Amino acid sequence: MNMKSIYNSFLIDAMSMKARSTLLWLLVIAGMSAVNMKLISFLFLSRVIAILFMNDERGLRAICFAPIDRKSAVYGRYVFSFAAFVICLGINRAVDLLAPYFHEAYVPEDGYFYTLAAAAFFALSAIEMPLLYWKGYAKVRVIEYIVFAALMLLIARVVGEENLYHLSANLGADSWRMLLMLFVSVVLWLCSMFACVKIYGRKDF
Amino acid sequence: MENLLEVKGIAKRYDGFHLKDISFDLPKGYIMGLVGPNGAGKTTIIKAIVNAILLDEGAITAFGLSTQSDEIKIKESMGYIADACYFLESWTAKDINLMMRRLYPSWDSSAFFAFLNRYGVPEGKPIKTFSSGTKTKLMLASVFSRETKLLILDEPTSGLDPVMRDEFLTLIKEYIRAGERSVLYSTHITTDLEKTADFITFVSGGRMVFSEETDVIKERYVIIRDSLEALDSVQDRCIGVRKNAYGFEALTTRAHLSDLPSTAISQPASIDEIVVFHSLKGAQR
Repeated sequence: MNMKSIYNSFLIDAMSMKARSTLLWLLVIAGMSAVNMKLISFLFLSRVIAILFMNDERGLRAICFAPIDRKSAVYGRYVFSFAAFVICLGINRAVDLLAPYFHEAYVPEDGYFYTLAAAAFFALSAIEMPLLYWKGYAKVRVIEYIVFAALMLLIARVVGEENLYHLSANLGADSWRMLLMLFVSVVLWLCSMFACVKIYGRKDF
Repeated sequence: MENLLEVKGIAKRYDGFHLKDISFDLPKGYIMGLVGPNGAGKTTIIKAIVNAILLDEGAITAFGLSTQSDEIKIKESMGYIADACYFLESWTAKDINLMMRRLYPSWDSSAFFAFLNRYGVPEGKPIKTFSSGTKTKLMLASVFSRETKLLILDEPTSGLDPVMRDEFLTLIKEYIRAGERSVLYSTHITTDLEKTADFITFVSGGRMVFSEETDVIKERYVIIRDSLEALDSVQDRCIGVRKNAYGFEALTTRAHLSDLPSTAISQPASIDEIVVFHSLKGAQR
């Protein structure tokens, strides 16, 4: 594994997000967090990551001008995806810390909620990334929303629909289930990364 | 002679196209032109060299390393220009400088901006506003602003105006002058090849017709002209025949000159004629 090459791939992906629309995405995430739609803000990240694939289809070919290979390109994109998750987590935590100063009734989410949010993000990403590498952004964006809705329904079923937007008070009782969900989704996410290496490794440009 | 690039028996099959048995070597310190009609397989060969497509058969080495297993090491010393711009259209030249200086330790920002200024490439405008020629200039600037030993260029002169095309030819001659670097470039403009290429690899219909020194190729082939009545007696020795109102003209090898009728007029063939008549042979087959 060539760490420099993975970093290069991550760097190119990060550079490709250098646009005014990225600032808008960050504001949307902060806005969702502020109106207690935190879980959706994590799932919404998949939409942001899909922009990288849209850029690929608009002619960006990092492997043509940068010292990276296909494997590093995939690993770099997964690192980017993880970084996006960390940023989203940071925004949501910042809102949790700041919001009570402006709105007394605001209830910050706890660790259980963020465990569930992480599990949901990794699970959705594990489904979406291989599809994007395999079929491309143009085809996948149509089914992206179906996957998004299906996952929301699944989560609503697991945690109870009435608790979907106010989770923290209801999740604490079953921390093992939360941790197991997170573990499974991270394993799935890592497996999907190796699947993407295989898929991307067979592509002709 | 040390080879910087070795292509050994590569093959690639697509629906309706089969590139087969392509082999050539590019020695250090030389320029090779890759020429052939549209759809001959030039871009496929170049994409195979830069590992943008996967080979069905064969192997390619650059600097003695496999392009498949040592891709990253090779790319650090190799510059590539594709047939279409590979940068994101919303980027500006300044963005590219910002990125490239992190990607390549040898990146020279001042050389990059000097190149852009010299050839009139805007620094702050998004690439989507550029013409195809300006996009090519930007890609050229990006490969000439860092240390490389080998340039792989896919039709770099297409879209360039005659002045810039001439500048490009000077640039690549200057690039190889010290004898440590090489250039492989594909083109349709055969007069460029006569000015710069030490070697020419000609492909047609996915097959390699020849890959040899330019002087040897020019020495080998001649154009003959004669009346149509003489055509039957010489046709089997001709590589592509073109009929006209006065008779015919055909490409043949110098070795066949002594077998031709005394009425036949011969003259040295240009690279353009060699390519055209070989392509005619393919079409007449």
